[in-house]
Amino acid sequence: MTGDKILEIKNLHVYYLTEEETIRAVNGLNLEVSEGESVGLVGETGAGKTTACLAVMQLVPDPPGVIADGEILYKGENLIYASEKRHREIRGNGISMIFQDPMTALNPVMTIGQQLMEVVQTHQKLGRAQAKDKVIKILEIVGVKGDRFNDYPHQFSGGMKQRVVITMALLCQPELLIADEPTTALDVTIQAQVLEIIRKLQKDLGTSMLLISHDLGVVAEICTKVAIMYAGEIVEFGTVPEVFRSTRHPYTRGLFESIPRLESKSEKLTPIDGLPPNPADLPCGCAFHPRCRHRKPVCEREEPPMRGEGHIYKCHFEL
Amino acid sequence: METLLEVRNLNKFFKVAAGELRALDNVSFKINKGETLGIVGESGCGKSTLGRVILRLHEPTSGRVLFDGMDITSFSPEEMRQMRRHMQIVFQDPYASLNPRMTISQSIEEPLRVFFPQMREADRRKRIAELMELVGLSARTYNAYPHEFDGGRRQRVAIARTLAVNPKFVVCDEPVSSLDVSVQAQILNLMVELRKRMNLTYIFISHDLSVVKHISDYVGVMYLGRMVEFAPKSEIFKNPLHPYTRALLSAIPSTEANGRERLILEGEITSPINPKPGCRFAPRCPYAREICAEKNIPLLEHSPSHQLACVRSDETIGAPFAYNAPA
Ligand SMILES: Nc1ncnc2c1ncn2[C@@H]1O[C@H](COP(=O)(O)OP(=O)(O)O)[C@@H](O)[C@H]1O
Ligand SMILES: Nc1ncnc2c1ncn2[C@@H]1O[C@H](COP(=O)(O)OP(=O)(O)O)[C@@H](O)[C@H]1O
Ligand SMILES: [Mg+2]
Ligand SMILES: [Mg+2]
Repeated sequence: MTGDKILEIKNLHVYYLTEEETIRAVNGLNLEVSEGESVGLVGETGAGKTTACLAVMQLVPDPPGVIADGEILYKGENLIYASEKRHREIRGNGISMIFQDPMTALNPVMTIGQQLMEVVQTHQKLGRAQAKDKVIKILEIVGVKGDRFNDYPHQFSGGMKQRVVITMALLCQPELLIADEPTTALDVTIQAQVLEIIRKLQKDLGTSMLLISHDLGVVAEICTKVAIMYAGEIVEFGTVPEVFRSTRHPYTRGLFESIPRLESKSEKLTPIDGLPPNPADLPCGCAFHPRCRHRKPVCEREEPPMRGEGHIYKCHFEL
Repeated sequence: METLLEVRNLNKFFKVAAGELRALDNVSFKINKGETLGIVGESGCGKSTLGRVILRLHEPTSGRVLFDGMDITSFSPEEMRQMRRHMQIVFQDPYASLNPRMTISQSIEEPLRVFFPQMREADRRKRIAELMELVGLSARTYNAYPHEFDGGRRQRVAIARTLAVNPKFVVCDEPVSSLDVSVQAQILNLMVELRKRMNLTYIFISHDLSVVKHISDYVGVMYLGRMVEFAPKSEIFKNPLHPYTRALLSAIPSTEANGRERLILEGEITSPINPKPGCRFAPRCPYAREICAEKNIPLLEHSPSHQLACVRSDETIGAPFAYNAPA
């Protein structure tokens, strides 16, 4: 069934508490992923993308991290109140995450075969031979030859390691795959290969996906919907054509104008003034106001409302 | 147009345990004064090595580098030291290239002390303030330390250091690759403006073709130590001829994609150690024939302004591939 909500994040707040300060990494995040859908989450470094994913996986490092408020519903079940045992179950069978650096997920002193077998055997009741067949089948789907089963991670290139990690994630047969900048560290031709694999998985397995990226192009190619994140919250959300063609939020517009594009003739880029805010010291009112070309006094005082339906954006003004 | 830099048959081989690593293999080109040459290619193709060998931060294995008509490959270390005033480099990671124990102003002062030891204290201070303004650093940050700065402002400091000595030529080695897009755009605009104002000539290295398109006049595409295509920017982007250039362009995720079919390369870059003869790209090339693996394929003039190292261009020209060329 498509259309059922697989993940709902409601008013999520995640803070890192240090001796000197409170870092408000995620600040009232609202986001939904429905079955069969792929949602892109776009934002610059420090916007809180990784923290939000870690919260969904219930892997926020604690200390210093705390989930201060909000709900994370996986098929209606609030993960924040679930037991550690239940979290492990969901990580094994429900939600898998792919990290930017494949070595976070790989053990350097075990062969990839050993590691992948371990994943299958802890989560599914399969005999050795069956498990191995399954591992090799998925390795080949993502383009790693079965004869590399006994190789160690260091014998793989960056692109190949990322494929092994994708295999690991898929072996859990997740209903939701969270991919945190899965291709950012890869060369463009290798990125194209990995994106092609992700596309194929969506088509063949119908896996729902939350794809984190700072690259609007990657999101355009993979996702149906896109959320733009700034200072720990969503400032614009809609289908890819809505957000890309009738961009509303000044921050999203700024992002589009900042990217040099192959298609454009213009020599001059229009950067966004200033710098992303410090999450330990967020501006009052609208978090984007110090960098905004359209700001008015109200923006410094009051938090803006969410406007629109379906395609929504958070601003004091109708744009 | 006056040539500022010419590179002739430049080779750089590294001896490694497994044999000879050909980081640069017979590279030749010219750059005109005031122009920017963009160098693109995937990691490990020799871009940084090219930049370093041109400045003789690495000694070339063979070949020549002519700067302003002088063969700098024959210069003594002292002559080369003097020459470096005119030839500078900006690196990708400004944190690594700035001394964390020096304030911003001390960092910018250092090249002034080295190259202009007679400069008076007051003049030096004035010059530092000028440079900080030039690169858009607030005077308030005069005594700040690099760790107080984000990547974009650190890169501004690195640029100010580079420009302190009034160079003619700057190698920019992925200067915006580690920056977020909104900050990247600020630094790119700054670099374009400085080039005009100070009449600089750039080699601009990047793995990002959109960035290279934005800033370059000419573009050179490298693959495993070799230059495979070299042409004015408009030619490279409107009429790319080498299958590798086409694959690179087609691989860029585009916000205007509309479900176009991509030209996706199989396999990965092969080893630069003891390479086999023939076109380095042949193992991944959809157009490769036996002849491509038999002999070395030199970079030749395809048209007066377009150089190409491919013997299969009859077939590649006109073959459709997924890429939205600029209007
Ligand atoms: N373990 C941690 N301790 C303290 N601060 C952290 C930690 N992890 C992340 N942060 C901070 O939280 C903010 C959001 O980070 P992150 O979620 O990694 O953003 P993104 O993935 O969008 O770049 C940043 O300011 C970051 O420095
Ligand atoms: N000092 C060195 N010793 C041995 N090999 C090197 C050295 N520097 C670079 N290389 C090799 O030369 C090739 C080109 O490297 P580099 O110029 O850094 O490429 P790029 O900048 O395009 O990523 C790579 O295979 C790299 O491993
Ligand atoms: Mg992150
Ligand atoms: Mg390099």
